[in-house]
Amino acid sequence: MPYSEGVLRADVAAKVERHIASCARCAAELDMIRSVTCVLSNADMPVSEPANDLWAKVSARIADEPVRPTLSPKLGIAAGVAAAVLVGIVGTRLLTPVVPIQPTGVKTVSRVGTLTALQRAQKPVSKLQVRPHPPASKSSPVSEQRYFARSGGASSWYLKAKPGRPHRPVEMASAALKDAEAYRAAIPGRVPVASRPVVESCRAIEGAASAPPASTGDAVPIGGELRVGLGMDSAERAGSAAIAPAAAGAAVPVETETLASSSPGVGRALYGEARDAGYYSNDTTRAASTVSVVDELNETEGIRTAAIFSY
Amino acid sequence: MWEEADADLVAKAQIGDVGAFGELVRRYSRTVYGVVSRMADNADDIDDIAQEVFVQAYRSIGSFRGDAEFSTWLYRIAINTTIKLMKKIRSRQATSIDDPAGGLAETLVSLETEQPDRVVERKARNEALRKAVHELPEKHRTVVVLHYFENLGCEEIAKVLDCSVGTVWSRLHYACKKLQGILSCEI
Repeated sequence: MPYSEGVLRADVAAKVERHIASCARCAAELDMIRSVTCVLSNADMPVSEPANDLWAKVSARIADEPVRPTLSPKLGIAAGVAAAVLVGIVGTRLLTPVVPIQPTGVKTVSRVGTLTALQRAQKPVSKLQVRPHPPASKSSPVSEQRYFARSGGASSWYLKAKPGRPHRPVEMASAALKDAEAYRAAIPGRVPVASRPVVESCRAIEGAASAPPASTGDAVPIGGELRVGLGMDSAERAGSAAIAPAAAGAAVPVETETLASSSPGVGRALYGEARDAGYYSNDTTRAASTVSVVDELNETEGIRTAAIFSY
Repeated sequence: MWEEADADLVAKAQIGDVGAFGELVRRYSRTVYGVVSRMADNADDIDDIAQEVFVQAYRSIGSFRGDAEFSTWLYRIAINTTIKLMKKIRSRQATSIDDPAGGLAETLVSLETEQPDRVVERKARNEALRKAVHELPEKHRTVVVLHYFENLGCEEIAKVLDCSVGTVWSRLHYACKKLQGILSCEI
């Protein structure tokens, strides 16, 4: 079309002309367009003359139209922008909900507070990995939150205190050794205070915990594992007593079944799952989940067990 | 000079000067009637459509920013108003396309003096052409009327229709192919 109208650039028109000379289809198309254009240009389409009363009729219709003052384009644009900004500010204020500041924190447990009052770690927490603790059993409706943390190479269980208070590792074994009776008394529903033999065995284990692990074959010394049996039965005492000589220096394979056989309900849950769950690893997630199982069993069996691990 | 006069009249009309708008009506009445006559189906509707075109122009005179010529802006109003009213009229009454003799043929304006035979032949050819143009789709009919009868360039047509120049060329090419099939006996 533009070529037939003569509005193309000279170089472009030359290219089109060369193509038309070599293309029969485009040449026929061009002939058709030129024919129709000629007919239309020479056609005399009927045109009506304007009516004599055109303005009278138009003025009569627009007489009732209100006079609409118009702003200059710049003023109109400025007014529109200002109105849009104002609407945006007002709308933002009206639509933004006022959210009261909620205090964050975790639920605290009385016994947790009591526990942290008894024992405090010496070192501050360098790295915390918080894992929420599932709700406690029915006997203990208050939920606790514990997390497994590492501080300076030593891993300890941290019992969170009230919000805002610093978190300190709780060396349960030491606490039990130091003030086991107070700890036991603070926890409702627990069995009475551990007996002296248990405490003594625990001391032995604790002392052996600092010994370097043996490097023999398949022996996997527990290395710092300590079981604080508070109120253990005779079978468990035997098991713990069996552990004590082993931890004293001889490298013996750690068999969870040893403890499990003496106390199936507790041993396996405590040590078997603990090792499988990564108590001996850096997997704090599994450790935290195992703690919940341990705590459940502890509460059932009435035995409180903690472990201090050293890497 | 003419354009400045148009701009001044528009500015006066924008602040409520009806007389200035009346002058604009007088200047562009033939232009509007030409577009409406070639787009409309029935001669009886041309006056009503033309009145509506100028009433709509007065109502929206305040939105004319002056970035295009007043004629271009008025063409757009005329095209849109004609198409809208034609649709409304068609929905209310039977169209008069089936009776071209009772339409625009009676209002032909011929300034040339010709022999009767040639006049009759010419009238018949024009009627056939008018009928063929009216058979085109509205958007193709619009570009044909504006380009071949109103003598507007494709760039100005693109401004009137608010489309690209390529679109105008494309519609013109399609219209020519369509008219070629309808007017094959006339060419």
